[in-house]
Amino acid sequence: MAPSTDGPWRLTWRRLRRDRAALAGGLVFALIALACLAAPLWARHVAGTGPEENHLTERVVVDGVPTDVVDLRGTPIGPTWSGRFFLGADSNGRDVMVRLLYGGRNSLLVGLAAALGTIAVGLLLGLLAGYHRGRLDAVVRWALDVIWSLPVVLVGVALGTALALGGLELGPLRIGADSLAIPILVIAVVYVPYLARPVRARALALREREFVEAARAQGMGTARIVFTEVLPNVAPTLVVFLPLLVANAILLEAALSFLGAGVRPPAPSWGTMIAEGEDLIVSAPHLTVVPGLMLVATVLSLNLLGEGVRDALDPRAKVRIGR
Amino acid sequence: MGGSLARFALRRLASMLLVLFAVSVLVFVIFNVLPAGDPAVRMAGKVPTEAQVEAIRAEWGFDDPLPVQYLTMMRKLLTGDVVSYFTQQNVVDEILKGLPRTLSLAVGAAVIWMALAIALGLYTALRAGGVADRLLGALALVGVSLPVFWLGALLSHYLGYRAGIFPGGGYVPLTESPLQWAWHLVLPWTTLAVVFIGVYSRLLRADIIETLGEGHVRTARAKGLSERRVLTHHVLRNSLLPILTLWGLDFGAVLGGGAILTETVFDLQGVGQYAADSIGQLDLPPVMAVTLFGAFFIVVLNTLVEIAHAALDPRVRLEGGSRR
Amino acid sequence: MRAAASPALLEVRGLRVSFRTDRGVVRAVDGVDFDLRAGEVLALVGESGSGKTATALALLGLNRGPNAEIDGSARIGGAELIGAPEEELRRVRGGQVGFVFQDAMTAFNPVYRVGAQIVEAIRAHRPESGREEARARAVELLDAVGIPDPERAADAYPHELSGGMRQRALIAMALAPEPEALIADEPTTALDVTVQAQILRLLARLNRERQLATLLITHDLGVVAETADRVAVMRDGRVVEAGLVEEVFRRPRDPYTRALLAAVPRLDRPLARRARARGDGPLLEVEGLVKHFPLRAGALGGREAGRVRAVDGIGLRIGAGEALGLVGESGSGKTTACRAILRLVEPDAGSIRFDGVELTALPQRRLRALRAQMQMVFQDPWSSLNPRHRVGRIVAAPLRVHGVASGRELRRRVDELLETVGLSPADRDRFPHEFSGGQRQRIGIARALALRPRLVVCDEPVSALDVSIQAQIVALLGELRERLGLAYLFVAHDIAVVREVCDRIAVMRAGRMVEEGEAERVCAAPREEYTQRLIASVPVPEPRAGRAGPV
Repeated sequence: MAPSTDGPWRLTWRRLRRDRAALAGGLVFALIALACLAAPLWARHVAGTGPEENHLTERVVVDGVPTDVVDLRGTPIGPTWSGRFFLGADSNGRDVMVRLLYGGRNSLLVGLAAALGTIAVGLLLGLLAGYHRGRLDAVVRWALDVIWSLPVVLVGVALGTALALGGLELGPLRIGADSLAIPILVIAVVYVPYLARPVRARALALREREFVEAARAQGMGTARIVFTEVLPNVAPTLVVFLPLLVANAILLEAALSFLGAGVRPPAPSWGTMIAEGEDLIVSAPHLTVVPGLMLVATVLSLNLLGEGVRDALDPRAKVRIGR
Repeated sequence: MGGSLARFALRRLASMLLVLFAVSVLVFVIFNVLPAGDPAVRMAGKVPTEAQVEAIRAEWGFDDPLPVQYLTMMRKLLTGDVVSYFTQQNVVDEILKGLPRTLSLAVGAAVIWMALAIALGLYTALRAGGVADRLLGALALVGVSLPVFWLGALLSHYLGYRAGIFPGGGYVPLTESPLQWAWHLVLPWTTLAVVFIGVYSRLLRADIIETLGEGHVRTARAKGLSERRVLTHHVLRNSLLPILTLWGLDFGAVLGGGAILTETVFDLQGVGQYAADSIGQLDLPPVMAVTLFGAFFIVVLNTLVEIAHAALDPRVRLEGGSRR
Repeated sequence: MRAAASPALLEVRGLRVSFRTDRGVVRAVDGVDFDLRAGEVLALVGESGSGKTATALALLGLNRGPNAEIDGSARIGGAELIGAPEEELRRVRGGQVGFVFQDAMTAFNPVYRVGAQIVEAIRAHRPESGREEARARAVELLDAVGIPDPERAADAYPHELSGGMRQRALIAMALAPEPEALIADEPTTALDVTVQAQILRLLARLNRERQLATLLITHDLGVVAETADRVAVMRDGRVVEAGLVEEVFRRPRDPYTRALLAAVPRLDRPLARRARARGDGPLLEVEGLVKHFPLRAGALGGREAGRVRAVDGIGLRIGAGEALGLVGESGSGKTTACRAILRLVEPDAGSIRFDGVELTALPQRRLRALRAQMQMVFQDPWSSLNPRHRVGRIVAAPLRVHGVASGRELRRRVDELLETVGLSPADRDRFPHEFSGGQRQRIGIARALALRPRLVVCDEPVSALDVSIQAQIVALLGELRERLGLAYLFVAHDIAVVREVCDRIAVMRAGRMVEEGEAERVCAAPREEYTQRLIASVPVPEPRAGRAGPV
């Protein structure tokens, strides 16, 4: 027998490495994330302005000609492809590139945090329901049904609106109205059923596997069995879902912000930028096109990575998310 | 074997009632329990007067204990006794006005996306691994990554305003002019359908590929059936079922509020847009009503879809069945 | 002996099938020749990977594909099948050659009724027959294959029929278009022994009555001896020996055939005398053990609509160093019983005394300590080992759980265990998927022995293995028992295997104990009617002159 000691994870990694589309996706996403992280650097050293600073009444030199940042009809300048106003300005005279990068931070932060929140709750619920079955499972399934029935965007919007004025107050827990925690929480909760269901199905199937019985026969306690025997076999499901969850969380955040129920102005987010740009789409289409392209690039790269991971782990798995 | 179906339906309906109840409680919690501050002030909207706030407090019973508040809310919502304090209009009337528009959008888009998804899914499944499959797969992936509202804005601007091919927005009732009605809806339908086509065609493709490897398909071939019959009767029939179930669920979700983004971008004045406008004004009663009715609609449609699924696939009727 | 002189209906020469996989080219079939005659049953026998199924599928072009290469010749009534266009093959499939697959549950489409699927088969080859006519014919066929109440069966969905009925329905469907030949791929493997016997008799009868040419694919030599006229033994894609069943079984020429015949556990073969370790006092005493499962049918789950009496009051006794075999068919409750004894499922009533200690009411902590003395070997080598753990970790787990050893001492114990079961310490760092089925069972046995138990419960430990591997594992279990003085509770459905390992045998049926006694006695002179039926149904690899018997 060939002396190979390749574990299942290493085999997966090898298969993933051969998938160029997935690697490209991962690379692009990493670059976008890095760029957004470096937002303050760009703001300070290249653009010389912050994301919320207005320059309504200023003038800027473009191709040797001094131009109004925002002209008399309210049309802001387009991309200058130079340090200041690299991608132009918006109706308030703010630097689009700077806002794009800062907005990316918010969008990515909300997306990632929400995805992690979903995984934390979804994993716990799925494992509990799948492994314990019985009444606990029935309750969890019913709770998931309830959340699943709620219209995603509408609930996000509802919560965002309801909390808009005074923030959240639940006993000792208090969150301000402008806090990013609200969209993060909303999105995290809304996606829990998408993850909890597959995790539950997996845990249910694993529970019947003989190696779990063997662990019980050895006298292992439930907690230990769930952690050492079941969890490593549920992990592939999580790994597949992570990029997809982040991608969909980012899209949902953009949708909520677009409707005014997510990130609150004047803080930038790709969604709010698109909303603001929509009013001026006739005279300044770049305001809508640019943040949208960033969104698409980010989500697409994550989806590519997600597909690649799924194919590497199990070419026959079916994964579905998002509306 | 109608007995097992009837029993399944009853079980689902009972479960549905419980979920409806939970959903209504959840809506109540979202709007009246979670937020900090005075609920009457919140309800009153942006610039309330003292008198208004007092009136609202009395009408909605905000001084009563929570369970009573819940019952008051449910009573008002279910009898249509909800008024927006900002616009002074009856909320339920406004919802009913917007309903045909939302329906037009949802039904049209759903039919289009399903038809195209089936065609694409089948085509790519049968030519899996080929050039066409990979190309269409890439397109599907892009489609899934597009934010609906951005796509709508772009389509409306470039194909509508700039090129003048389609109207940039607005709605013409079906009764006024069927042609104009459809013409105004082409772009919104496309916008809404694009994302779903991406998701569903890939799903169907995966399902068909899996079904093709299953025992009963091999048996069908061994029986000497024509390839077409194998495809229609043994592959599609089995693969379409889960897809149709999901389609029912998504259709319900779109109708129940998922169309909000598309409606807003194309100014269709449907139920979703009504909610979106109210959000902008921080006007709570409409948002509350739309959320509740939207959720109710989704729950009922979900249950109907599950019963239909059980009617078509006898295995699901067994206790437990095949959960998603 | 059938009409051996009639011309061959199907002539196969030099059949070759290879597949391109990402591990290179796999030669499933490497030059196979045989003839199939009307009124004759030819058995294609071999272990897994021998290429017998690939051969059968290739005849009807059912494994064609972009990665498959099929050459050679297969002529039916003079017409060439290999490479024939799909149109022609479609007429042959079902119309001239019927195919019975192994698993009736997956062979039928779950969303259509059984009758409808049979009608489909009829109308595919006789499009002029009306629906009424076709349905009448379908019901006739279901009756002909021995299904009681064929009208009702035709209206049933596949999952509503029992395993045996489904298999009969599958045979009916294969015969519906009135083919001249029938290919049956492991048609009885998924069935209980008593049901298997009935289906085999059915196949033999149909073969005779309709003068079919039957190609029977199986791994079970007993089935071959009982049902076939001629046999071809396959190994690694080639036919190593072929001829009349009597000839091949009585005077096997190929060493592989001889080894295969020798490896089959046989009820009529005398056992080598074993030294039986006799301890003092019973190690395990079970009395009145009961385990029922409620059938839930309430709206949200909770109300019972009835119960499944899996174990309905059984008792047994195993002395130290003694091996008791528990035999039963599916649904007999033997699996539930052995799990209840180990308290892997909680018994509803009864007493279980291990070494004098009552287990049923024992608190978890003390039970855990006792668990070290009673371990289990599981059935499915593909599911009994955690695919994400290395072998060393799997074997060391029980030692870690009970804090028996750590560090270097732990590694040493693991190495010792691996060697005991015939593996090497280097295997410690490998993952389960790198091993074959037999080797994985050895790992499972090593794991069971880690805590030096006194009782090992073996739940169908060899059922999922090939016959030759089965013999090795059975030998290993016997050897370990002698060397380590272990007591066994050996659960299986194959009474011949049980007889090889155990001193005493107990027969279970529908949750109750039917008969118990010394292994030799129970097998040679069973007292109860059920036991007699069970033993009579076991296909013996001994060709018999006449093949009579009710279906």
